[in-house]
Amino acid sequence: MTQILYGDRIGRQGNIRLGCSAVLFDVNREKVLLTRRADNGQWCLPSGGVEPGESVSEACTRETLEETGLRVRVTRLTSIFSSPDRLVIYSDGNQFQIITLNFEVSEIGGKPVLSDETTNIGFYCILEIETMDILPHHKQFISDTLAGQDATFIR
Amino acid sequence: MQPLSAKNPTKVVYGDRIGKEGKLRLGCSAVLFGKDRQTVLLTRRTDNGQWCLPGGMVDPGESVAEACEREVFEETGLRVRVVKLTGVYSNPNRLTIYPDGNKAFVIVINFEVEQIGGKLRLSDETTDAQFFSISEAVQMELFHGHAEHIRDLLSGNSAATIK
Repeated sequence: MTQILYGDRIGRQGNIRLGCSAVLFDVNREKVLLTRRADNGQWCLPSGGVEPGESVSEACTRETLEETGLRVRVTRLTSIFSSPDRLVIYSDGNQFQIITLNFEVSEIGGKPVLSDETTNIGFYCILEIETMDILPHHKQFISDTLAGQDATFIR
Repeated sequence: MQPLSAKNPTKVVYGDRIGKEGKLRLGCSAVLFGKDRQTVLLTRRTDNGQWCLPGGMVDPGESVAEACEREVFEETGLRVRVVKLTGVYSNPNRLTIYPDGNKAFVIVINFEVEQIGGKLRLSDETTDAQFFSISEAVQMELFHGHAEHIRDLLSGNSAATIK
């Protein structure tokens, strides 16, 4: 299982990996699309790693499609998260400091579906999200996106 | 290092999805304007003689803003602080080939920075550093498409450019 460790400059023990995540609001801009991970039961935004040979927006739309069945378009970069005090250890032993770009996206097609990696999918309002087990920086991304400012938050 | 680099400088090549051939690396670049905002700081790379914005790779154990501030200091002697993230550059049709043969798909985060101290000086990685007029800088063939970072910053959009 994936393990996340926190500690002063613990990111030094890993390699840098670039990821992306997507905030998709419902039509009223009140609820946010979340999926529940099969491996640990945690809720999260659609997200994943950027691969060589794809742009960051392509990575974001690809991951969202793979994890939710929805086709989306990137509209803005709301935040970059690059805390050096966080280390992700995968089950294969690889260790990473993950730097994540969070995008607001808009839906252009598709239907929400579950994948092998997800057990639940739906739109949730901020009050509900407050009570859910969700990655802390994903919660931060949601409030950054709701803030609606043009400038990208540097986290 | 230098003779090897001179014979075989860092190259940037373009081609359809050629980025696939490299390992993904995350870098940063910095735009520092002169006092009147009419000039911009450029450095000249030791390894290939090209002018570019100060910048470099993000190391494990630092944030992207720290990486940017560290690289500017190492390359120019200037102490700077990140003011704003102005763009992400992830052209899949670009590949960077280093003197040692390693290939990288480099994704770059560009920041506008402001000076908070230090004095302009050179480093092992730079043979020259000076402020150029913006009109000149954006016309130059800067390393890794850096002129685009300056042009996008000046385009007047308050949101970050996503490329």
